[in-house]
Amino acid sequence: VFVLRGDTGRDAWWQIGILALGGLSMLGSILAYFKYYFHVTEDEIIISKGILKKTNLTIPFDRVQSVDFEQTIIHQILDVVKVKIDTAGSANSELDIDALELPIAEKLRSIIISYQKAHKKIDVDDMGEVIEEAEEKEEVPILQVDIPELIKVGISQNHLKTGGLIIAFGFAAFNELEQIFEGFASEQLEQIDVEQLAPDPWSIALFALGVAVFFLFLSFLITLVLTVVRYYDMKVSRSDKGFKLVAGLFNRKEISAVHRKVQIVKWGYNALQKILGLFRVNILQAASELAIQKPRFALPGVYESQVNQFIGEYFPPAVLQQFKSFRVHPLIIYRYTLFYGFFPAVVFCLVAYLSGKTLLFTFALIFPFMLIWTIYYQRNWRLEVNDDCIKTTSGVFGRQFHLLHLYKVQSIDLSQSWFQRRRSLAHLNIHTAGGSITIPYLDIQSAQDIKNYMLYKVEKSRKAWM
Amino acid sequence: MSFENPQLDIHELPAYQESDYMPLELAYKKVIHWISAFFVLILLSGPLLLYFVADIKEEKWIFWVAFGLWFLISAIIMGLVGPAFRQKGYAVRERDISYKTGLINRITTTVPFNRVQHCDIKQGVISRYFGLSKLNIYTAGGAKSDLAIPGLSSEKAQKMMDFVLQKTLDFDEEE
Repeated sequence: VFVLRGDTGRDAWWQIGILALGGLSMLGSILAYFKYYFHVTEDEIIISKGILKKTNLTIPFDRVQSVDFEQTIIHQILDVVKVKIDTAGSANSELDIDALELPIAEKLRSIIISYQKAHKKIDVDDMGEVIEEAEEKEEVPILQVDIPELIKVGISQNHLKTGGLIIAFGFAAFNELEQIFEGFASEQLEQIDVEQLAPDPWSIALFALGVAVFFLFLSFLITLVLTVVRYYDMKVSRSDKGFKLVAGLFNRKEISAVHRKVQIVKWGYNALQKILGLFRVNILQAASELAIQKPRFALPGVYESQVNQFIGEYFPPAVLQQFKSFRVHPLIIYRYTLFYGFFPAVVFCLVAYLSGKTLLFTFALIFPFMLIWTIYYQRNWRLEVNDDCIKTTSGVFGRQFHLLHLYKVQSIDLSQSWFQRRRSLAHLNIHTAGGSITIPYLDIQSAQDIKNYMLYKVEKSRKAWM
Repeated sequence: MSFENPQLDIHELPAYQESDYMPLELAYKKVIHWISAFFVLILLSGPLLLYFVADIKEEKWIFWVAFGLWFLISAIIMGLVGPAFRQKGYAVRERDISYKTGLINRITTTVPFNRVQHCDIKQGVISRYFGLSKLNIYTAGGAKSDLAIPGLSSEKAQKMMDFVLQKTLDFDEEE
């Protein structure tokens, strides 16, 4: 676009137009920079910006929820930070200052914190993270992940998920290219006469295997790179108020898990992680629905002793005793296999039969696969309840654990499909401010007992859930 | 301070499933009837489009099949309004509120008062004509955990909201 040869009229005008637009937007940015002011009074920050449309924003310090810094690679080069000021309130309550020198940014943060400290807004529930950061001095580092360790973590991630993404991305890219080259690729593909190539089943199988291996390798590489980029130089530290995680190569992010806000602790491992003795840990915190996109406190791979440290922080060993255990009803095997195994298999067989493509019959293998899958799914599912907590265990090859305090529960519902009603079964859904947990196919008596017990516990509890 | 810790018999706990569920106002059945009727009318556009727009002059039977299908689906939808209405109900207890709904998939949601964030009352166009309101009770657990009781007379909805808010306040002060 930037190559401007003085050819015939229309093309050149078009190019000049683009250049002019680019110039204008650059001029706009520069003007915006000179027109962007913020100043700090005793108890509020005032921002005025805008070239054509002037905007004045006033944010009282006591409405500020958190002050976060973010650095992209450009920020890092220029040694500035993006300051995000989050306030309690509706959707557009967040305020970003795109680039601020680090000392100034830190000063701004400390002004806001000291104001909030002085005005004792600490006991108000919504005032979270800022206060936490004021007490950073007592931080104790508990976890640091170096490069070899990180590579190990990267190896153990879920490659099938990345594989799926690559395939989806591949299709999208193919579609795009198709539009650009106006069906060139599919024409070429159509010209390959499948019959003439006379593929015997073995070469097809070999080809499929080759493609599968290639995809696995590709997704393996991509997950590895993504993990390293995202969790480069990961540091976790602990203070009285919570945990803090700092990580990232190009984009260093700082995420905190404030004790008071924690609702559910989630941890587990997949088949690969099991071999390597690694666990992933997720700390789910209370968040308004608007803040769902906020980064979650997630550790991709830590060792068992470290997992226990996180769990022990919220659940001392004394509260993790005398669990009463419940299992998922075996009828779940029949139902899930029927819907996700048998019916699809029938459809595949029908299509294979009608189209005469015998290779499609292999897809019917989904039926035995689903059968075995659900047998293990049912066998591994556990719900454990005691005086204080609920713990769930699930997974087929790996395991997934959820653990929460009963008093963190917000509401409970029981749902029964027509089939479940006939067999006296029910889904139990437990909702917390940090997410929901569904326990499938409990027998109705247990489900009702558990619900009544949890209601009793919640209604009796004087503890604040946040 | 005396410390008590009596053993708890789980079957002695108050059971939510044994509460008497109050039915919604009978007029609400009419509201669902109207809403379903509108829906059914929108569905009718399918066969009509087929008749007026699609080129099936030769094969009129396609239209009649579509029309028959529409009639069948409409009859089922309209026929299920009554039974579905009878499934809906709410129960207020000392410390929580429950709402049950659903004909094929039955759901009973219970929200303890000490977890209520806020409440509001909403009124649709059809509901307003019948003098009905919907009471929404919000918790911090997101949309799935919220409770919405439709088909309350407007005074009742207001009264219930005041009651719930009062209860929530009481428990807040206890804490």
